[in-house]
Amino acid sequence: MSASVIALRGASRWYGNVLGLSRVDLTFEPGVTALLGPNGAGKSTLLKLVTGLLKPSAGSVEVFGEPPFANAKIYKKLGLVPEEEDFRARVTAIEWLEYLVRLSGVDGALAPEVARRALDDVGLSEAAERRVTAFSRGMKQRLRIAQAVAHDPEVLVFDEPLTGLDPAGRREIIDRIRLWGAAGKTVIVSSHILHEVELMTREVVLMTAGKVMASGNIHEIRQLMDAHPHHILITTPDPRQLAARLLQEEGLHSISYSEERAQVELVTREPDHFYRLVAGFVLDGTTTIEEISSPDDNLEAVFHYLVGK
Amino acid sequence: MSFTRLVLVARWSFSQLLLSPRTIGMGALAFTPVFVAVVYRVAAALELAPGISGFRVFSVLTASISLPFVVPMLSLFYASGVVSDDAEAGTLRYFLIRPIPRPELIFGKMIASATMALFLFVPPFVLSYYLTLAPSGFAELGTRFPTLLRDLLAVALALFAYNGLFALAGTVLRRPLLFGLFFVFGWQAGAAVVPGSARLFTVTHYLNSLIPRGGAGGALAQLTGERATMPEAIVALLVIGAATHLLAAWCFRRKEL
Repeated sequence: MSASVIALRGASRWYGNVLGLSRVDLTFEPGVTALLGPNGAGKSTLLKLVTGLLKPSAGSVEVFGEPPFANAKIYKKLGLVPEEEDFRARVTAIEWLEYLVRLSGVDGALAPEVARRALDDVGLSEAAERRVTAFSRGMKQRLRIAQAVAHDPEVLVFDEPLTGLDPAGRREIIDRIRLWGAAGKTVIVSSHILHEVELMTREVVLMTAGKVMASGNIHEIRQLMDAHPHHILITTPDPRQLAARLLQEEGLHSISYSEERAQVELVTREPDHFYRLVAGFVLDGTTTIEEISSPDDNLEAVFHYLVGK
Repeated sequence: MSFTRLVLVARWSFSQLLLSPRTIGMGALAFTPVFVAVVYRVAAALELAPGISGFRVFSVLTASISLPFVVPMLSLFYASGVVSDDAEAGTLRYFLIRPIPRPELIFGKMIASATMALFLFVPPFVLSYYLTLAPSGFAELGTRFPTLLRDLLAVALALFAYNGLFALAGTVLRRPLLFGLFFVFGWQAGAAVVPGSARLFTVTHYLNSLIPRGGAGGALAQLTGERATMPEAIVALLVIGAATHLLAAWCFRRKEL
């Protein structure tokens, strides 16, 4: 039996004739993992399988070694921030949270305190007595997050958690997600905002058309993508001289330089070799380097290369 | 099954039903017999209804409004929403991912819908009883009181059966209201006047057997001896109610979102 917190083995899900998820093998461990993909990639289906709102059509899904579907035992350890949808409960925020934390097994006497603390955590303490129907989009999103974390679950699943939040709110939630991950919780975040995902984690699962295209550390995934050579951008006062030296090396796909921008851009399948080489030039004092960057060693580039969107 | 959680869910669901906009419409429907009773009282005061006893008016109100319309409609509009109300309000998935067994969740909701229907039915029904019988004096009110109690118990049994049936429809069908309207005004109304055993598959057959007053179908049934006996009717309503509630819980346990 796998020791993974969450394990999908050959998990597939059909909606009639439509394929939602196709033979997915995946595990999730403590820390933050981002789930990325265009609309229809299967992210929401995967999250519904993990949170037991759907059953797999084939294969298996286990959370803490048990199938999560309608499994009350699992839900004690799980919190879900569902995707944004109309929310029309005729209650105040504190009434809503108190009810949910009591359903989560918190004792009735403790529920008000637990609910208030959760509202404080997401910055909604001032609005505790207000009707939820009068909340703004951002406030409703904060409330969704509050209900997911109020009972201190070990697994947190976020479906587009930054929807409706202003920039400061986004930053705050990103920081909290990182903290929850660092605290040992297993956090899964589905998102399509790549640069914000990069602020949360380097561990990603890239999906398209119901399949997992790649999973793991974003840099390691990039390294494995042989079909797309790496671009390395070096800023130096003498780009011509540096380009000439690099040109003598094997493994170079192409190289160009610009005196005007004081930059050399090389394309290679062996980026680590060239990083070491350039570092050597600096160390032996033969070249001055102002900056080295890799414009396509990031989530957005990997995403676009793999998903083609 | 945790009684505390059941009560928690039932109380919450009841408060949500009470605050729902449909309560105004359902309240108006439930008070229809009261309006008619008031009209009767005014007519009686003006001596426009000589020879019509208060109990006769109450019986007609019961047979023509309360039993065929108010009871099934209250049940339909509350019980059929046990799942769809939360789905529409965007709250269902929050409940499904709580560590509470799904049957407890749905039983709590079904208790709330049945309580709500009873809560809206009983006060106007008793009020219409009082309004129609009061002019005949307290003696008449007292004499007929066992009949009122029997009617209320029969209605409670019918609500139990309807509640399970419509909750089951709400759990498995996309449009439970359409099913319910067809069941009440199509199937039950049709089966009541068609000879044969179709009426055995209605709730009204057993309810009318427990409250054998008025209605053309009822009179015909009485003449042809097609009434169920009281024990049969009670057992049938209990079985329908228990089976449909259990089936609703079973279906909800397997429901995907």
